[in-house]
Amino acid sequence: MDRRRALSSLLKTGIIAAGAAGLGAVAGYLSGSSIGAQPPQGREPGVKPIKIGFQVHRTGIGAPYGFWYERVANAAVSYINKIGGIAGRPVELIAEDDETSPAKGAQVVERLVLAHNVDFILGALFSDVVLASGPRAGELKRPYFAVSEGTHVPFGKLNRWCFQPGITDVPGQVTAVAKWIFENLGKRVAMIYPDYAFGHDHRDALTKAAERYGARIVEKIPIPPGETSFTKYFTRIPRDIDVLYHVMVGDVLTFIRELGVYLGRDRPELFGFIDSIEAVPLSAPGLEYLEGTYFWEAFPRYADGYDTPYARFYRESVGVDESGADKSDPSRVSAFSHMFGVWETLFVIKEAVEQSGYSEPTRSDYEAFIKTLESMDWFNEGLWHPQGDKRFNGKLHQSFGHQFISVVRNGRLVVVHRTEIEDSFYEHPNDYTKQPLF
Amino acid sequence: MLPLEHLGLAVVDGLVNGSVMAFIALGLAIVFGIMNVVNLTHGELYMLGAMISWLMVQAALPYASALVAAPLLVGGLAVAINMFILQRFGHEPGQTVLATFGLLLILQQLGLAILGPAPRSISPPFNPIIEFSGFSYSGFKLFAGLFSLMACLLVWLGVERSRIGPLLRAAQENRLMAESLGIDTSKVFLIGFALAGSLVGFAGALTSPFRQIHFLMGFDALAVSFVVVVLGGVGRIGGTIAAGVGLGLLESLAALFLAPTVARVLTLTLALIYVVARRLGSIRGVWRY
Repeated sequence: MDRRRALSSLLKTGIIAAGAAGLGAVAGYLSGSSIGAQPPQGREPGVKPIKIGFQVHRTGIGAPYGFWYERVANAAVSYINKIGGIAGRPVELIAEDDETSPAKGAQVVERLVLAHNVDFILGALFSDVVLASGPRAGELKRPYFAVSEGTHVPFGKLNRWCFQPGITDVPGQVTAVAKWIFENLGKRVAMIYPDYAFGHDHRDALTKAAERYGARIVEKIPIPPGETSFTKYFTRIPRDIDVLYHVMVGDVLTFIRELGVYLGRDRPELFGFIDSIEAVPLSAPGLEYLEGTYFWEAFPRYADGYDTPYARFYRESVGVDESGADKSDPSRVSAFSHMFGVWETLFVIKEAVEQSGYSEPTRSDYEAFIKTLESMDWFNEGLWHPQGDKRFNGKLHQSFGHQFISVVRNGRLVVVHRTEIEDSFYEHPNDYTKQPLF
Repeated sequence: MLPLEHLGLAVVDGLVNGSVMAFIALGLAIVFGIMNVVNLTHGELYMLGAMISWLMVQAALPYASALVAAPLLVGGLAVAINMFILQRFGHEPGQTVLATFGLLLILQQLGLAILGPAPRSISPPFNPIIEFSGFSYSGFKLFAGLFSLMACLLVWLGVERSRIGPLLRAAQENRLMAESLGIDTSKVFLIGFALAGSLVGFAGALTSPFRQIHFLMGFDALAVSFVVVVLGGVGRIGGTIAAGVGLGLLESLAALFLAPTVARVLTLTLALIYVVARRLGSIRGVWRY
């Protein structure tokens, strides 16, 4: 697929179909109708459905994300079924709670394959769950699609059956925004990050980018998991830095409050990752201190941050308003910078099934499916990929895409920069295509 | 060389966090330490206290009303848990652990249903920034730390100097003997649970303006409370207070010199060594308490 053929005929048909089906899909979704078993319009009922297992964080620490991942998955399946399903077959989504637990995650994968015989598995967000589930999916020979941002997929920690095509990973995100940070905010940086894999990915990627752009990470402050009080660590922040880079330290509302008291008005520039305040309203008491600070976003929370017909259709389909909150409950803010990955992943599955001719969970069909997916290199922006076009690296099983940098202004996020896809590229020797499939 | 203001901040912050930690653990020190009931819902009761505070502020009620409602409601719930569930098992350890673990999950899901999955917060009713020489500190957090320390000392005096402490111990150590001496042990347990529940509910409401309110916040509170109670010496309210304050201070000072995670590991290792040494000492009769 060539990127220069911009909006392919695939998307044109999608736009037309959307006009007819969009409102119905949203209405059906919002009314809570059963969408999984709904046959595609114009198709014979009783056609064998494509079964997609969905490992969802309904409970546990990932629940704020799980709620939105499930909503988006349901909306995407509803829309897919409205426009004819996958290869003319309806899609049935079988969701199971993994409790955001690695052990439970692996059990869910087993149950989805052995009890429900799903064709594909839409995987989890939290790295530890993905790391426990991916190997089991590989053993059971079932394609597993993480929507996680973690490096486990591209860095070769999983196997040939695991993909991450719908969302970019941390090194790609950090590499893309680092250039802007160093050029616009300053080159002396201290970073605060969680002391586990996700934080280490940030630390390593930003350190590498700093070397490339002649910047300096002068202090690295890892925060132990579960911390609820942060002031004691702030004494490690050097006073002469240009930028304090912070990400997902856990108890974020406490973190920001205490940081505000410690640094006061005489502060360096603050650059954070939206993960810290994902699903948290910016009006939450304590977040006033973020005014004038910068954030990475994958997909802008506020509609005017990236206003395209595709983004509008997607926002409408998943029931999110202009400011990124639930239309039916504006106090519930969405996980907007992550949940689009679920939507896009489901459409990648659709594209790969239809191009490969996949029909049954057999050796030959899976071989064709995986090799087809590995040969893809672009996902064009459109209704199926509303966040933007993406370059897919078949060797790494990972997508690379645009990133957004926003500033908090008058209590809302305002986009100030959109990176190019190429800004996020990094080198890695991993090549899943060399692994045997069976 | 270590700047003096950093040392000052570490001491103030360590004392505040330690006092709050001790206050949160106080209820467990009574129920687990004195009454020997392993109550795994302790952290969830803390979460409920914070949640009640959030709900009341959302309902446009003053924050101060939460400091009254949270201990009453959470204390009432603790009494109900004891009366309708734990008492029926005769507070037998195995069944108590299972029952309270089940309750923990139920209360956690209740928190998820009411709070939603995202963290919540409320504004402190007052929060002047207190300027020390070279550093500033949250006025409300400082107030909460001082209040926690005072409350801890009052409870300590109350339990140790009144009949409550000996009655709780008697009911736990030999229920039959206590009852034959005319002590209504059911009432004693009721008082113990009411006191413990009210304290942890109060702690939840007190800390809610400077900690984020989340349905999973009880886990950390439970773990920290057990560490503090065991470190302080099971059955010793004074020990629990000293352990909480000491642990907070130690962790804060260690973070000045070491990487944060290393500081935490070192602090907990020292705590473990202390507990083991004290146990060995008491076996040999060297260390008495």
